[in-house]
Amino acid sequence: MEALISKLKEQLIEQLNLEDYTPEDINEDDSLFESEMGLDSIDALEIIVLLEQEYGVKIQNKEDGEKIFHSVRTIAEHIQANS
Amino acid sequence: MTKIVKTAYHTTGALHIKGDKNPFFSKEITYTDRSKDLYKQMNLSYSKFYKMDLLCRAAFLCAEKLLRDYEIVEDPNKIGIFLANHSSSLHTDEQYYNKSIDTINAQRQPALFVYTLPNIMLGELSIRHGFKGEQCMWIDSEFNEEFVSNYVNSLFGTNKIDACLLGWVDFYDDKENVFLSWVEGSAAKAEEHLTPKNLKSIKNYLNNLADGSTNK
Repeated sequence: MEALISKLKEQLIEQLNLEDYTPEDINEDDSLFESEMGLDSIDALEIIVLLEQEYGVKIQNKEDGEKIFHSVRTIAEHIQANS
Repeated sequence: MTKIVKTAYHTTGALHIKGDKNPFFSKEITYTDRSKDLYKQMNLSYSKFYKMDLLCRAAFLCAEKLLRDYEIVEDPNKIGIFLANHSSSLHTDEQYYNKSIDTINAQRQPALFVYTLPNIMLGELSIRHGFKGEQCMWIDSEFNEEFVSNYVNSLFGTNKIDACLLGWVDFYDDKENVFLSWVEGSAAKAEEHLTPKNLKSIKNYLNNLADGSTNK
């Protein structure tokens, strides 16, 4: 799980152009969309694309998405349970 | 009467206001690097900057230069933004086409797709500065000072706006070509009025800077 979290942080930085951030700056339990990272709905779409392309994981509905995208850890847990 | 309070210029790596003692300048070869360099030189902290396409970065940096340390007193609901350019969002359109359409490994890229319209600049500047008034974006072969002056003055004349950001923001072929003026509805000397003649003078100054025939 920790290796997946670490890889996800790097992928999020790359995919979302978070150039001010290093993996160490992102706490895996912090809320992605309510933190100072300032992620928005377009970033959510980018994460959906990332999960589909890199892990073959699809988000089936919006309600699931809100829970899955809460933090890096919840995304990693979803990948682990579904890939 | 409307007053052009001040104008910032951004071209060939330079970012300055006429007569500026502290212009910003980057020697980086690509605008991707130049824009990042200027952002760092200006000590800015705005995480969305890195997500912007290069056209929006050019508009963003010029607006930062223009409005930094300037106290805006007008009602945000009556502050407009009026921009024009020649190349639309062509740089990003091509990028999107090459990455997402014209390839067997096409990948969806929503964060790039949103920049395939030039008027997203208006949104980026609105979010950054909190302006909520009238907005327009024109695509033209060159800055049409007669039209823009008439249009914006009519909005001031009918009390639709009390201030605005107005200018030319073009980016293509790795060349930034930008001027942004801050305009207020207040008393002014003739040389500061929002007139076609004064806008033409600003346009010519930018063109001379881009050609290298004007010292900053």
